[in-house]
Amino acid sequence: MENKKGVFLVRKLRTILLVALVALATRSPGTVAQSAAKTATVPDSNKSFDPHDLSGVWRLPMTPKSNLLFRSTMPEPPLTPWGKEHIFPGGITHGSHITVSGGFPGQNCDPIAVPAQFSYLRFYPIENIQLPGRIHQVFELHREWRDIWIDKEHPKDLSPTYMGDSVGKWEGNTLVVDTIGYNGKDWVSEDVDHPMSDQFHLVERYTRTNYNTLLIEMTFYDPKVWRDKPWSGFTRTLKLQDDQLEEWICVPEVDAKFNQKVMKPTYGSEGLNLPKDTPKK
Amino acid sequence: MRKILVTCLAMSIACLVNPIPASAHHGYAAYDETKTLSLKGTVTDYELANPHSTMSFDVKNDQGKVENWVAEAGHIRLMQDEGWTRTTLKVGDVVTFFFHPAKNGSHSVDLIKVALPDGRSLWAHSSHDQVPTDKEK
Repeated sequence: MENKKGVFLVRKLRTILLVALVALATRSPGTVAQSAAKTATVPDSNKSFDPHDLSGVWRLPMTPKSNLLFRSTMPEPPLTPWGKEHIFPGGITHGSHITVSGGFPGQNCDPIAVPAQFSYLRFYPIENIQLPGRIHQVFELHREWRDIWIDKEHPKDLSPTYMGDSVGKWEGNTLVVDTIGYNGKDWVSEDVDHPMSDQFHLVERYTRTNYNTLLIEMTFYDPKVWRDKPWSGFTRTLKLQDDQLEEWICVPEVDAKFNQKVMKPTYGSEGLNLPKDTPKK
Repeated sequence: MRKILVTCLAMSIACLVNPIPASAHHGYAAYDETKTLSLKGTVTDYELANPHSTMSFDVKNDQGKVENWVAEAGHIRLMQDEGWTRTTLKVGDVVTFFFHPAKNGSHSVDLIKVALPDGRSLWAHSSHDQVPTDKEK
């Protein structure tokens, strides 16, 4: 009896070991790569800091647990008829479309506004440059920027833009940033199934929680899409980087050549920016 | 396709263990992410670029005919993080490249890593990411 039990245990252990080995052997290379990747994250420290100083290069840390998906912890408010009408065909499925027609922010070198820029903080850092009366925020991805004007009101006659108009004020050690004046031509983010309207309104709360950590909490408003219901629960916890922004310019001709070389043979040409002389089929 | 070596199988377990990669630029639905293959080829083109670096290789098929394969790799920052520089590869280098194949059988593939002539093996996967855990969603 003892012997049978022993044989059973050995077999069970062997099965577990085999499954574990196969599982390890088939781990996604991306998973392995990211844990091996070098990062420039400033190590945690008790170093003193000014909570009103948000300057520096910030990025989501490159660890297996940091996430690319930019999703809320709260459910999306019910959509208005306008919101339903503008849902992207097939919704957002993170690349499970066999064609690229599902699209993504910045496709074909389109601008990427905030908050959509925050979808990509895993890959591309931002830099806050603190100047008298404003914070100049630079996004490595597509080399975009915006200003957050401190203790100012929005202009009365705003010209709608991709980035909108941002004003900020300190509430204790939290900078509250209010952005309106969007032109409604951009995505909300890579994880929301419909675009923003020209009534999109973003509220961000920036809190430097320690020397190397910057917490951003966001609430979205869009009366055209969600009536008077806010959608909160979006956060990004950024780490200070010992790094500098790199050049990342989206050049339509380069993008088109890449699409022709790589995307067209695998996905087909639907929705792709391709060189002008490329046959569609 | 005798030269293709299937290096990873056990798909059902892999699906449980491996999160689905997400992209900063486009999805990967056109590639079979459950398969990792490798080929030996001669470099015909290599470019570090945004949104994606690319490299091409001439590979002899079973009939001895040379076919050109195009591989999509990561963006410049990611490649640099992994040790790639503009001089890592030159035309004529013979390397082994590992990739997820296209579902439609085209020779345009999702690159994972390259075994270089100097013995190093550098990762180049363009998604370079994983979805968050349930707790993080």
